[in-house]
Formats: sequence, structure tokens, C-alpha cells
Amino acid sequence: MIRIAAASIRSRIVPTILVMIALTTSMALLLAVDRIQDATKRGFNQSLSGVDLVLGPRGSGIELILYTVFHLGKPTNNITTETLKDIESNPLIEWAIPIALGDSHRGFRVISTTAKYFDHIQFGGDQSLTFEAGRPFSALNDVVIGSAVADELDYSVGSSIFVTHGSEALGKVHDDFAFKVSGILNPTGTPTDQAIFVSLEGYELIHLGWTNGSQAVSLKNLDVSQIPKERLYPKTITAAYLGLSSKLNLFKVSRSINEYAEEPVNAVIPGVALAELWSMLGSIDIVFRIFNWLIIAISLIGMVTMTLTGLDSRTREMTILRALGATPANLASMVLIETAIVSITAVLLAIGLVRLLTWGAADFLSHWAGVRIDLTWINFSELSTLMTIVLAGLCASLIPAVMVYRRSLARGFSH
Amino acid sequence: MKYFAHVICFLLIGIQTTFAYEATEEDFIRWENAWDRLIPQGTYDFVPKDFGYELLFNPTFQSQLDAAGKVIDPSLEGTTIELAGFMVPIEVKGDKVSLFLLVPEAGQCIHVPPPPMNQTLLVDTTSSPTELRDLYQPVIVSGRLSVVTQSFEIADSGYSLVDVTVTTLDLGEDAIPIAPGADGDR
Repeated sequence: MIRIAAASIRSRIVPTILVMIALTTSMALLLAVDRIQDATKRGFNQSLSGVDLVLGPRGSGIELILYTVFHLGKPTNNITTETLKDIESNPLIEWAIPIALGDSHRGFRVISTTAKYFDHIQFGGDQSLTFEAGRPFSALNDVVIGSAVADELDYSVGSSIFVTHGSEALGKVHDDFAFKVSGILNPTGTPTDQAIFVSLEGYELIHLGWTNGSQAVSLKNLDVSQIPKERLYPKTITAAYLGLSSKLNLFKVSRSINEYAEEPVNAVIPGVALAELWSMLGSIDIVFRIFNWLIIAISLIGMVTMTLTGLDSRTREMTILRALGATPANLASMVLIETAIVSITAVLLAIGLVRLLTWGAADFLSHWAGVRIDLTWINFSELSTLMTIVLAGLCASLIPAVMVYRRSLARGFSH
Repeated sequence: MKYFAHVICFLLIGIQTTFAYEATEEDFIRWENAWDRLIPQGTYDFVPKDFGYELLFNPTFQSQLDAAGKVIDPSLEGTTIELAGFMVPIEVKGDKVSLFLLVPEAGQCIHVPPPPMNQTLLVDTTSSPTELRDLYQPVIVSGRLSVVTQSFEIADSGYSLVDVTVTTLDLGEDAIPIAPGADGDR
């Protein structure tokens, strides 16, 4: 019976292939969108750990997390280091790591911070940052680079770097002070891979001759080693990562920060901000899904239409099969088997296509947001989704199958 | 599979910037010089050739620097100029911009701090409104300079540009010039 069904498909190969392409792409689309979404969420959620609160200027928490952790967007305001000092004095806060953003190097963001960053910031749950080569920055001109920076620009310990003012390629280059790579971090699969770390003092130094975002005085003729380090400690920073001695005090501390009177600041719990982001994106999700299922329904209708229109031209074939001893039930099940072959092949192709799509998306995501996603073939919930589609296809083909059954009973050999 | 992402990026850029111009290294130098021309010669003469670091922390010196950013060059009146920078829209009708500030760096004005007055130009495109572009999309603007100071909530502009043409600047990864003397040198 399967052999006959397969042969029947082969005789109508072109329309069958077209229907199969429609089914395959619609299923692959459904799975790929789901999977990229899942993986993005997981990637984002795993990018920063060990940090209990992010302190920044008052405003949207989501935005604060996006520009500090994921290097997406830009800060609209700064906070003063005086405020940080004040807040840090709270005994419930164990450590505070200030960060200042704004500059870049060949498209990679420069993060200025303190060397404590490498001790306290973690990723993927509880993994610490480790050095592939070299050591954290200590001198004014030391920089630490993420693994992707080292790979893409082919830098190693000792390479020198000019920092560009601003995050765009058109920005002026701070070409009066060269930094030297002192360390390269191991790959993490997080935005850290795409980052360049310098000390707060080094960052302040290259902006000394600047006013209102443009350079007025060059450092070229200046002996920078004479400047006492404490004078280079910046007056303003972009944000700060805070670690608490006990997570039980999380809300207590964040409330006290949000009520800080001297400067408009707020403290954001990274996980909460991300959860807000996902719920905001949730409605877009639903629209996507509805469209996807509509496309699948249309493909299935296409498959049934093909079978139905085929029936008329197959009257002779059916008659011969009946003459050879096939019962009406045999003929009906042949139609069903044909559908099953088409839809199961489409499922297999879709799984392959999804793999291909997520592969491409993974590369794009890791470039865009430094987020790495895992590649898998198929999981249980996806398999059940696909099986639902196959079953729906079979149910829909009951229409042509029943028609075949009734026609062959009624007509018999009269044709 | 890197190519897949590249192809997608390429397509997106291609759609967004139909008439994009691809810049050469000479262009970058030319534009940088054009921005410098807006600062009158000798504005920064008060900065000594040799100075100790103390000067940089001197409040009087800092206010002198701030004042220098407000010096404009009246002799530039009526000259034509071509600059590459970023658009900060002021007057938007639908998806067309009829008035915008041209600043040397993306996101200035919206993000702190605004550029000095002599590095901020008011571009008047009322006669032929140009399309609204992304804040981070560099544009090439050429036109006739007029030395007028105007104040806006977000920034002050020292010059304005009329009879302008606005072109989208395509910045491929390879288009960015490498700073000599560093950038990977050992």
C-alpha cells in the first residue's frame, strides 16, 4: 500500500514538491521564531550574574540594563561619584563597581571601571571571569579586552590601542594617548567578549583636554605619569554594579536608593528589568505566533486542495485499482498515506531548516548583542507541535479520503 | 554561516540607504578638516605649548575652554562647506525633516553633553525636506554657511546651513580608517 502511495506521489511530483516546500518553510518559521526567542531570553538572562543591583540615573530600568550590560543604546545621563560614595557607605552593600561608558574602539565598546570588576562580575550563573592571557589592568594605559575583540582584531598582550570618542566610527580618535593590552579574557558567550576594559583613571585622563564632547587640549606634550592618581578619579560615572552582603536586603536597599534625595538615581534589579522587557515584548510574540499558525493552516489547505483537484484526474486509476481487488477503504487509506508521507517529509526537512536558521541567527545575535545561543536538533515540545501539525494535516485529508471512499462505492465499474 | 548574517545586514542596509555614499580615507580627512574650519584660527592660542597637569584641573582654564567653544568665525559667511555628521531632528513632518541640527557625533544633544556651539549647525531643509534618519546614521551635508547664533532647548548652534543636499553615508566596516601609530601595533 505504501509502495502504491509513493508511486502515486512520484507521478505528481511537481505539485507535491511545491506543497511540501510551503509546509516545510511554514513549520520551520514557527520553530525558528520560537527557538531564537527562547535562546535570546536565556542568553540575556545568563549574561550577568553576581550583581544584585545596578545603580544609575533615574529613568527606565530596562534602558539602564540594556546600555550597561548589553551595550545597546546609550546613557542619557550620568551620576556623580559623590552619590556613589554616599550610597556605598550603606553597610548592607558589600561592594560597588563604578562603570563609565561612551567611547569605543573599532566598533567595540570601551567600559571604564575598576579592577574589582574581574573579581565580582560573573556570568552564566556563577562562572567568574578568567584570563586567557595577561592580567587585569593596573597601569594608567593598561586595557583588558574580551575574547571576541582579540580574535577579530587579532590583538595580543602588548598590542596598542587608540580609543575613539563616542560609539560611532566618525568619532574623533583619542590619538594623544595610547593604551596597551595587558590582558585577554576567556570567551564567555556574553557581551563581555565584545568589550574593552580600561581603568576609570585612564578613561578620565583621555578626556581631560575635552570640553563639551570635543577636544581642546592634546595630552601629547604632557608627562601624564606626574598626575596623582586620585586626581584622575572621575566626578561622574554612567552607572555602578552593586553587590549586597545578603539578598534578603535587596528590596530594602533598592528602596533606600530610590529615595536618595540629593540626586535622582535609581537601583534596578537586573532580573526584574529583564522580566519587564520580556513581558513588554510578549504581545509582539502573540502576533507573531498567530501569523505563523495562519501560514501553516494555509499550507495545509493547499495540500488538501492539491489532493482534491487530483481526484478527478485519478478516476481511471481508482477504477483500475478497484478492478485489481482494492476495497474502497483501501483507496481511502491510500490517500491518507500519501498525505502522511508528504507531511512527515516536510517535518524532517523543517527540522533541518530550523537548524540552519538558528545557526545563522546565532552568529547574528552574538555580533549584535554578544549573546550566544545553543544549537540543538529538536526537543520534546517542538516535536509535539510538529506532530500536531501532521495530525491536523491527516484530519484535513479525511475530506478527500471520504470522497474517494464514497465515489468508488457509488460508481463501482460504471465508468 | 557568518555570511548569512552579513547578507541580512547587507540587505537591511541596502533597503535603508538607497542612495548611500561610500566614503574613502580622503573623505574622512576632508570632513575632519571641515569641522575644524568652523573653529576660528587662534581660538585655542591661550593654551600654552608646554604645561603641567595642574592646568587641566584649573577652573579658570576650564571656563576658558568652555568659552572657546562659543567662538564663531564671521568670515565664513556665504562659503560652501561639506560636513559629515549626525542628524538631530528639530522639525519633523511625517517622515520628512525640515529642520535639524548637524552634530559631529551620534547621539549628541540627546545624550550628554551637547557639542560646543561652533560645532553645531542648524540645517534648514524647508524647501526640500529630507527623510528622517536613524540617530546613529551618519549623513553628508553640503550647503552654504551663514553665521547666525541660535538657541535651542537641547543645544546652541553657531552656524546655519542653507541650500543643502543631504546624503546618507554608508560606513562599511572597512571604511573606518585605522589611526596610524597604534591600533594593533606592537
